[in-house]
Amino acid sequence: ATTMTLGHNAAPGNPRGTAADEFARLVAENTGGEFAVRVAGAEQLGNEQSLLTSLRTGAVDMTVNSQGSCSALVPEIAALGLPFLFDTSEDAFRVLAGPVGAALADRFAAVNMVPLGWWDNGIRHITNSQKPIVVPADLAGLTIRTPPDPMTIDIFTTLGAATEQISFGELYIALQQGVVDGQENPLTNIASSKLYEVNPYISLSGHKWEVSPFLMSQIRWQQLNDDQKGQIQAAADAATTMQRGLIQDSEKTLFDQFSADPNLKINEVDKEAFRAASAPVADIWTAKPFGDFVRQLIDAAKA
Amino acid sequence: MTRPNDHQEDPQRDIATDVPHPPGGLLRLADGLDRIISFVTRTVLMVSGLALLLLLFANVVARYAAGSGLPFAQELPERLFPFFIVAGIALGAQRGAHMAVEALPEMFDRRGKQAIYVLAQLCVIAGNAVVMVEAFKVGNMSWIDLSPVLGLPATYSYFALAGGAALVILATVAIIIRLVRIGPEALPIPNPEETGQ
Amino acid sequence: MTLALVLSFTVLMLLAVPVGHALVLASAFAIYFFAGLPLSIVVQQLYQQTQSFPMLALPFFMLAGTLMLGGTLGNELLAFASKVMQRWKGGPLATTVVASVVFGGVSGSAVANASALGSVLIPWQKRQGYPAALCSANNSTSAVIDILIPPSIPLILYSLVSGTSIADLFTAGLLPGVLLAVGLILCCNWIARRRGFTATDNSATLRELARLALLSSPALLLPVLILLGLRFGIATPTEISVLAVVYALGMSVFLYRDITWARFQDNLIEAGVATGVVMLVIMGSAAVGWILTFDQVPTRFAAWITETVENPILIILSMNLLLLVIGMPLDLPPAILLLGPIFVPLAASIGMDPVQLGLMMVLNLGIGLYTPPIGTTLFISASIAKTTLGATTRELWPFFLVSMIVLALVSYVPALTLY
Ligand code: NA
Ligand code: NA
Repeated sequence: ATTMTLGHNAAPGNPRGTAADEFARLVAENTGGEFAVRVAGAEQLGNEQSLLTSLRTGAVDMTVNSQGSCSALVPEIAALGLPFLFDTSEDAFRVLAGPVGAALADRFAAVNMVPLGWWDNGIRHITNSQKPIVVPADLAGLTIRTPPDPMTIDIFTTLGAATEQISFGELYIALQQGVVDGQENPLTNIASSKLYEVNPYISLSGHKWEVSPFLMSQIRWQQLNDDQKGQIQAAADAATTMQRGLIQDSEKTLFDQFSADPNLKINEVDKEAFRAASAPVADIWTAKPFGDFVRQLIDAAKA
Repeated sequence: MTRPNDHQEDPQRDIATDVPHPPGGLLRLADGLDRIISFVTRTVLMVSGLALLLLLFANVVARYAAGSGLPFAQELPERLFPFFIVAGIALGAQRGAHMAVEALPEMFDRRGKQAIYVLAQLCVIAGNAVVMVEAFKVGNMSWIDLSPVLGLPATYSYFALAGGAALVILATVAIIIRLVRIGPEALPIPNPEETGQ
Repeated sequence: MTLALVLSFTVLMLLAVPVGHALVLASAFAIYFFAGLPLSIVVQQLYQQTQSFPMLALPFFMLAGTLMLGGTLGNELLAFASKVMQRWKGGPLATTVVASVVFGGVSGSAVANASALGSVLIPWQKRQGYPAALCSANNSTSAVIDILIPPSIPLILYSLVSGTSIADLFTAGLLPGVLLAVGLILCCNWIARRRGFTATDNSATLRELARLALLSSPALLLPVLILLGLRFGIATPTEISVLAVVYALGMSVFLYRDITWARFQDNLIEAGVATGVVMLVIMGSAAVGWILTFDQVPTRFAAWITETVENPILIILSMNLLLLVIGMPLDLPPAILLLGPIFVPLAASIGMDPVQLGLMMVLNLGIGLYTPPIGTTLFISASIAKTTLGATTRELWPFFLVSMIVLALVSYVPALTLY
């Protein structure tokens, strides 16, 4: 049997990890044991940036990555995070199933990667230590930590918040001690990194959706014959469906859990006000070198 | 386990060039190498060290004066840090600051020690040759790996690793020349009292 | 591949190849000849470690320390601290322990602790006649108190893999942290008695002490400012290290007028070399950790324990032994991410609380930070003290023994962590 390696950064029990394990099981089953997949999670084989480089050198065969780290190689993918572009994850998957997804796959091919599936990274919300955020004006005077992602920085600057770059490893203590007031992440990350312990206000802004591409190294992909490619793609498709379902379930469970927690204050936001206030971000991004792709994406999302 | 002359009461040398030695072409080459390495690493340490200092300070000032941190305050220091690190590694190699376990060479006489030290230095060259070549290769395929805010390719950081490994190799060549020409006592060891006090 | 790695690393160590270089070469050797994987993996692991934001605090805390203590101010401060601390046997050594508790209350990293306190206290202890290796051993051990006393970055990581609350873990860390501190202070006192580092100077009058305190107040204020800056969220620990440099520079330029460009340059280059020495070991360890993970060594070992050991006391003992072995080459964060998911269900099967397990893991892996031949605080301290690994190792054992006793208590007495 040939053993392939799948690296990811998620902790065990996270939807990414569970679906990756399922993929490994299905590959062994579909190929009748001809291929085995060794899954190494929790950044054991390197952080996301390092795993992407390993994919290009062929040191690792598959990875599940976040949109932010992929945008270093395929900057277009950051446009999927345009503010309020998708109302639900289903809308995003519908668009990715069409020409937009094909265009992205071409861009990944140019950097020696084959997307096996578009996994769900969740819709992102704002948390902070001060007050409920209902309208954009509530953000004034708050310092919000953003990842080093130009889209997120653009969104929060446009909305009138002060942004701050803090590495994820220093985030909990920075929130606890007040270096920054708030941050933005999907509910799954807010829960797994215990950010709610230091940020009791959770405002369901849903300002941004992100994809989590499941990628394979082209070096390995090209060594496979058509049958094998089909078997592996089938395993990937099943794992993709599973991962998306797990994210939906987990967001629902976490919403209920947070709502029931007397220490937390969870609130809905005025989405229309946020949508209007963040509209200029789309203009910034259509002016970029890959503006055509951004326009294609916006049109597809509206259709 | 320690070298005979590492008691702190002993007068210590800063870099190996201070060892009195007979004149000779190879030894002059070693001295020349040391001067170049010393100049390059000190310059890189000063430039990158000051830049890091100013950048991180400016971010705190910007947060309170302008109300918002600099968008590249995480990214640019991360890109500068490798240069600072590898210059420190290379200058450390020249000064013999990288720590080793000395149990085995201690058991041998002067000749034996000399042979073991030379062998160890050859291993250092081998390891750094791998790093130099591989870092250059990975760096070359990373021109398209752009940082999110400033769009700097990861190539520069990989090239920093390659350059640092090259400097370590040169410093080690100078050490080997002295080990062969002078003897095991020419192996540089850190100066216990060079704390600048 | 792991066998080739262990053998080649051992040979290189015997040849007195510097530890950092030996780690790099041994992992390249194992990957190339025994795995058929691209050598680029080694370089990628080295590269990834250089992209570490929190490590930036290392050179700047060191720079702030040498800037403060290298000049006029340093002499005043040293005079004051000597007069106060020499009243007790081993007082100057114990200062590091006490300072680690205080510093640990605001910092979450043993690396920041070892570099910030070491660069201030070790030169001072050496001047009082304490051997460099003893100061180095003391500093590398005390720094581990930092990650038990909240806040603690390793405990945050553990909460991520175990699903326990950070707040619970932080509360649980307090008592073991204080216990370790008390043990280490007793240890310092015992060493001083045994080796005759007696209290030398009890002559200072209160008036003289007050004069010296006033003269050295700008330096005494620095740690206070660091604590306040962190406590009230003025900046992140990395930024605080830079603010400390700016403060030290400001004092030197405007108050004491004793800084020269040459001295600043020397101090910065000094900090650079120390950073390079420590980072090379961290980088090389990452490459070794990659191979151990790829070969699934920790996973297999844990599976073996689960199958063969049944007695709860022995299971806890085996977990500790595995942690001690894995903690030697592996840094804290990867070790926690790797072993946490394996140990949590294992502990649950014998009724051990995950919070207690977390403290046991963090303390055990913290001990790995100074277990020779590879360890982060060990290298930082030896590098600051300008001494060798061998000499530090010989001074280490009493501190090591005390830490092991505390580890045994944390492992087998649930009341220490669950109250
Ligand atoms: Na702490
Ligand atoms: Na260790």
